[in-house]
Order: sequence, then structure tokens, then C-alpha cells
Amino acid sequence: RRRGAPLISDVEKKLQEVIGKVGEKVCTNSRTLETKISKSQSTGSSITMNLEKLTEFLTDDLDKYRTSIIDIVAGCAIYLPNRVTVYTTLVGLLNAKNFNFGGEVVEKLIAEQQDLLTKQKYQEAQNVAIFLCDLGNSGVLTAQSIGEYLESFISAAFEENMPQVRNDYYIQTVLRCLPWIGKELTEKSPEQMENIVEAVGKYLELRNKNHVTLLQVWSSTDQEQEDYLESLSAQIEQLRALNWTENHIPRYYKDFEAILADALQHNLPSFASPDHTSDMIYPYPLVVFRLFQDSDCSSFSDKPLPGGHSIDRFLFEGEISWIIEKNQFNRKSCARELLAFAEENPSVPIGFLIFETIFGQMLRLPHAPYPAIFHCSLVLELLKLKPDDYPSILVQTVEVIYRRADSMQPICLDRMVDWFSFHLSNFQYRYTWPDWKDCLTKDAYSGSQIFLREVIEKCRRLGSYEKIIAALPSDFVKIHPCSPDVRYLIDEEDTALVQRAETFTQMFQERQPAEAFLNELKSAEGSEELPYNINEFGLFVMVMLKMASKTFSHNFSALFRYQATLKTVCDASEQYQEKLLETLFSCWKSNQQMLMILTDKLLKMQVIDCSAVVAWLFDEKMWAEHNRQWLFEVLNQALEKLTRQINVVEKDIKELTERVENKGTDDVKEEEMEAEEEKNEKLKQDVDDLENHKEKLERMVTFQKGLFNDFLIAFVEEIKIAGANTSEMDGSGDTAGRQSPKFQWLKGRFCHVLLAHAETLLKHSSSIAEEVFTEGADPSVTECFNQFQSLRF
Amino acid sequence: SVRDQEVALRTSCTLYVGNLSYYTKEDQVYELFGRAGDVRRVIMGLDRFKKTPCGFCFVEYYTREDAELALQNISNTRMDDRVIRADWDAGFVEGRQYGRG
Repeated sequence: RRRGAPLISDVEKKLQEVIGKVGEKVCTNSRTLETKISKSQSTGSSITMNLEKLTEFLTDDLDKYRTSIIDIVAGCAIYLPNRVTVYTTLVGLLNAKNFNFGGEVVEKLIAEQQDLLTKQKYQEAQNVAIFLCDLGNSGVLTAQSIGEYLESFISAAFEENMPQVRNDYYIQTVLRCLPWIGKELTEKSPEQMENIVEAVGKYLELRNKNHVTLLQVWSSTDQEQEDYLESLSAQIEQLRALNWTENHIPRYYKDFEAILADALQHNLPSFASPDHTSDMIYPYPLVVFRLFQDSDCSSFSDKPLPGGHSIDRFLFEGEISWIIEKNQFNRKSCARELLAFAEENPSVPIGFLIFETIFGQMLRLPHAPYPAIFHCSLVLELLKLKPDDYPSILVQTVEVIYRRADSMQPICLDRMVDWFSFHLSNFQYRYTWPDWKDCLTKDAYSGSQIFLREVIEKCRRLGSYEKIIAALPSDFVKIHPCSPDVRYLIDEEDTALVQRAETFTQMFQERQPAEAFLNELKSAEGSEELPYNINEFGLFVMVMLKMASKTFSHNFSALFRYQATLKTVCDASEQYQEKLLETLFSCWKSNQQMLMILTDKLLKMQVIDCSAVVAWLFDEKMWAEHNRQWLFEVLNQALEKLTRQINVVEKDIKELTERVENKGTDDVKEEEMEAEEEKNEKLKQDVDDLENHKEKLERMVTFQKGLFNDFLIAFVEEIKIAGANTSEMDGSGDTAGRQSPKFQWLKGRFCHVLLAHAETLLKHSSSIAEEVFTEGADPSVTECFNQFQSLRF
Repeated sequence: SVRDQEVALRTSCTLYVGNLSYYTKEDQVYELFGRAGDVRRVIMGLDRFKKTPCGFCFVEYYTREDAELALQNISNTRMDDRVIRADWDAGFVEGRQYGRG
């Protein structure tokens, strides 16, 4: 290694560590650190003292390591939003000693903010805005210039012909900044404050709110899920009415008022919004998620829960989200930090807010911010760390969710099923099951019964059939799953059939090659279109599945061994694919996991294609399964796979385009070494590749569009029939038609499909509107689609 | 060599999962580990002589990210009431499924 280089990075590392840890109350610094720092911090001194010492320490080295220090502070501003006031105070203190330093930090942050916005890192860019505003509290920036800065966000939101989601983002940024700087602005720059509030009010009045219903986890609860932006604005309004009094933000700069008051202040330049281009994707709109009311907590805790509409509730949720965000790759440290946060706030039942935030994230639409399995393991970790309190909060959580299940969107219910089954598998499937007896008498399409049924099904898969049956009360027999064994149904009377099956069995036992089976399946009276006997093909598949039924591994090796047979037959006509899937279903009807995994494998092996799977699942014969989760899992998995394949081709095209465009402009040195001819050859190859890829992409996208359209048409038709059917009585039999649980459930599944493929479907939404929703669709389904379209309004 | 082994571990999509119950079956492993992503295959560890499960398995994913997710979130949770432990594996080779009984 080069000399000198390690020294600099060592210092940087030290600086990073010292600066990064100043916000922690108990610092356990490594022994390699400067002794004057570690001594004061390792004893667990207050943050104020930490800040004092750190300022002293950094002032000494400010000139020498200026750039590094600025970079690190900027990093803290972007990535440690829960320590905003710690770092704004630090910058204030350093600015008081060295005027230029403050200016340089501000300059750096503005550049970073622009960069983050062009990279579409919206959350981080918002963190920077809050940080800059808070610098007005620590004597670095003038209130007036901050007011102007926020006003420039407002103007950006009022630019014409822009997507609403973009405008929303700018307004949300302003609102999120106000808890920090509102008081200062009201005092020092009241006119601007008025302007901002008025403009936000006007903005909200003009705004389209179609999306709200589609994003709500449940309807008809006593805690309505309001639009997030409106709710935030109302909270800020309330806060303003209270003259910005809140007990939440730890304002460390107050301890240094005398020093900071004397500092010279800078002016914050206005915000310049980056140009909008059509490929920019802004955050989806949000709705507020509330699980608990004070009455839910009162039996567990005598501390009052901040009201659902209070700014405190909102700010706590924000901090909890930040802690989760920061620790999303480490469930253990995440749980530890959440608990530490709860301990820092003993006067509030933070446990309830932690669970509310986690479940709000799990259920967020269209997508949860983290992989489901992370939330699952985080909940386990929290219970482990706090075994006395948190299990009962979790029970309360499950109860609230169960009580709301009947009005819950299917996509959210699925997520709860997945989480709860995983959770129970860690606790021997023990639960107060009898509490849920009430749903057994409900409609087969009611949310609560579906929830219970699917939880049991997934518990069966994680454990075993015997275990889950043993854990359930005896009167649950009505919704017991079937034993998950293979079904091999052959008409024993039909001797010809039995004989054929025996032939196949023997051929499998002799491990005859794929070719031999093809010959065997060739039909004597076969046409060019259908060269193989379709019923015999079904029989062949049935025998194969039966023989391989022991494990997935057995199944996979059978599929691979006879891949050529399967593929050759299935390539000949779609009817064979249909037959294959039908046979698969009849054999594994009672083992949904097997259905899912084998369908997936057949897709991956390209024996069947996506359109065959979709057609199979939505054929009238399968409607009876449409109140089960597996069917939609298979559907969404298949569609998702197609999207992923398209994304890969798109990425290749992007890379190839860049290569082609850059050829000849750079690599001057290489030119000398490389023969001109060879280079041209390469370029030509890339150009050809690019052309091929573009054609391929076009084909795939056309296919995808057609597939979605066909399938949505079929689904819309099914829902229409369910809605129009006034004579059909479902389960409990007291409602029919569009009020029936069945209709509501199918409509919800329709929303599920839209939301699960939001990115793709929003791209094709005009073609869908034309082809699927021309006429005849049920008006309430059309309404769902309109709500969906406004997600990127 | 040691170096090759290190590289293999750093790029692997395969996990070694230990402390399984002898009664845990392959489909349960698929279900649990499928929660973290698309599983390519599961290979159950078998007793060399009796050819019965002997408490470990390999889980291979299609992508490194999915394997990482599983390692972070499934390792140290319970399956069939045992705390299972996952770790990187350099990749399954035929023959390695046979453990000491």
C-alpha cells in the first residue's frame, strides 16, 4: 500500500466514529480514540457535554480535516434523521467559532439535496430539508431565508402540468419541516409563515383524493384512515394554534443559547426543484395507519396514548420508523434500539406505538417498505427482549386486526396470514383459538373466516397436518384443511385405462428415456395440431406425479428427467398445457404448497407459459378456489416473473445503449492499442445486440400487455356475474349480489392484483382503460380502477 | 484452497442450516425458507447409513440477496420447536448430504 494513505483514512475513520456517536447518551468509544474524547464520553455523560467536548476537539482540527468533517456531518444529516438537533447544534457551535464552516456545510447540504433528488432518494432529500431548517434554530441560518426556502418548495408544488405525487412531495416536505422551525418563523418572519399556511390550504383544496379508498387497509372502522398529507396538515395547523408547543424534539441548542446568539448567520439560498422528466417516479401517496385507541391500552398501562390526530403520535411514529429504517438489516439491533427508545420516553406507552408502526408498515399499500420476513423476525425479537409486556401488546394487536378482518383488503389479509402463521410456528401453534369461534358461522367469503382458514393452512405447511389439527379446538372441524396427500383417481372399471396406467408405471420403473414416452403418447388418429393423445398425456402426468409424490426433490427429478417429453408435448398445443395443469390440480388439490411450487417449476422450465397458468386459474372451473390465497399467490408469482424478465432485458438495453453511445468518444489510449478493425467489429456486435434486445423487449411488452388485458377482462366478467347474481345465496345466505361477501371479496382481489403489479399496470393503464373498461364492467370495479390510476396522478 | 473457499463463501447463494429436528421434512424447509425468496433447491442432510434425516440441510437460493435475507431473518428462529441456525455454505456438492448419524 502507498505510504500516507492509511493515515488519512484512519483519521477519517476516527472522526466518523466520534462524530457519529455524539448523539448517543452512553458512548462506548473504542480505546484507539483520542483520550480527551473517550474519557468524557465513556462515563455516560449527557449529550450536551458530549457536544461541548466534541466542538472543542473538532475546532482544533477544523482546518486540517475540514472537508472530511463537512462530509461526515452531511452524512449524519442525511442518514441520522433521528439526531437532527444534535448535529444542527454541533454545526451551530462550530459556526460560532468559525463563520466559514457553517457556510460550507450549508453549501454542501444543498448540493447533496439536489443530488439526492435526481437519484430519486426522496426520504433522504427530505431529511436534508429538515436539517437545513433546524439550522435556523442553532444560529447558522436566518429565519427569513429559511422562510424563502420553504416558499420555493411551495412554488415548486404549484408548477403547472406536473404529476400530483410530485407536488405532494414538496408540500409534504414543507409540512414536515414546520415542527422544527415553525416557532422561529412565526416569531421572526410572520408574513412568510402566513403565506406558507395559506398556500398549503389552497393546495389541499385543489388536490385529487381519489386514491384514498384504495390505499386503506380496512373500511368501516372507528379510526378512519385519512389521507396522510391532509392529516399532517391538520396536525401542523393544530400545532401552530398551540404556538408550536410540543414536547418531542430535544432541542440541544437551547443549552448553548448564549454562544449561538452571538454567531453570525448565513442566508439559505432558495430551493431549485430539479426538472421533471417522464421517467421520474415519486413516492406513492399514503394514508394514516392507526391501530390503537387509548381504551386499548388502558388495561395494560396507565400512561395515556397520544391521540390519533396529535402531532406527538405522528412524531413518535416518525422516530420509530427512522430506527427501523436504520436497522433494517439487523433485527436484533433494531429491536434493541426500539426498546432503548421506549425507555427514553417512559411517560408514553411506546410499546403500543412500536407495534402500531410495524404493522402499519407491514400493511402499507401498494408495497410494504421492507421484506415481510424482516417484520416477522423483528416482532419475535421484540417479544424476546420484553417478555413481560410485549406479548400482551401483540395479543391486543392481533385482536384488533381480527376484529377488522371482515372489512380488510384481501392483499392485507394475506400479509397478516403470512406473518401470523410464521409467528405461531415459533410458539407451537398455541393461541386462544376458541376466541375466534364466531367466524365459523359466517360466510365462506367473510374476511375473518378466510383469515382463520388460511392461517391454519399455512401453519400446516410450516409444521405438519397432525400438529395443527391437534392445536385446534374440536369444533373447528368445519375449516380443517384436507390431508395434504396426493390424489390418484383412476376409474377402476375402465380396464383399458388401468392397463395404460400400468404400462406407464412400468416404463417409469424401467427408467425409460423421455423419447420412449413420446412414442408411447403419439396418437394413431393424431392430427398435425394434436399429435399426441391428450387423455393419455394426462394419465402419463398423473402416474408421474403419483410416483414422485414423496417429496419436492422426487418431483423435481421426475420433471427434469422427463422435461423433454413434457416440453415437446406442451409446445405442440396449448391444450396440452391446459391438460397438464388440470391434472396437476386434480392430483394435488389438497396440497396448495405442492400446486404452487410445481407450477412455478414448470414455468421456470418453460414447459408451460405464463398465459396458460393465468388462463387455468381464471377458468370457470377454478372459480370455487377464488376464496383461497394460494391461487392469487400463484397468479401474482407468475405475473411477477414476467415483469422481472422484462426488467432484465430493459437493463441490458440501457447498458448496451450506453456502450454504443460512448464508443469513439472516450478510450483514446485504448484506440492506439486496439486495431481499428477489431473495434468496429465490437461496435457492430453491440449495435446488433441492441437491435435484437429492443425487438425482444417489444415482443415481451406486447405479450405482457395482452396477458394482463385478457386476464383482467376475464376477472371483471367473473366479478360482474357475482354482483348480478341476486338469487345466489352465499354461505350464511342473508345477502346477495353486490352486498355479498363474495362480491366484495372478489372486488378486493381485483384491487390486490392492481396494487401488486402497480408499476407495470400504471404503465399500461391507458390500454387497460380502453380494452377492459369500455363498457359492461361493474361500476364499482371501474371505480377501483379509477382510484388506482390516480396513484400516479 | 483457503482463498477459493473464501471467495465461494462470499458469492454463495447457499445456506447450511443446522439444528433441525430429525422429524422436519423437506416441504417445511421450503415453506419457511421460501418466505425470504425464491428457493432453487433444498437438500436434506441424511444419515450416511440409515439414509434418514439427521438434523441439517442445505438451502440454495437463486440470488445472493434472498439468501442474505434468510440468514438475517430466519436463522435463530424456530422450526418444529428447535432454534435453527443458518450459515453461509460454499455450495452443495454431491455426497455432502451425508452426515454422521
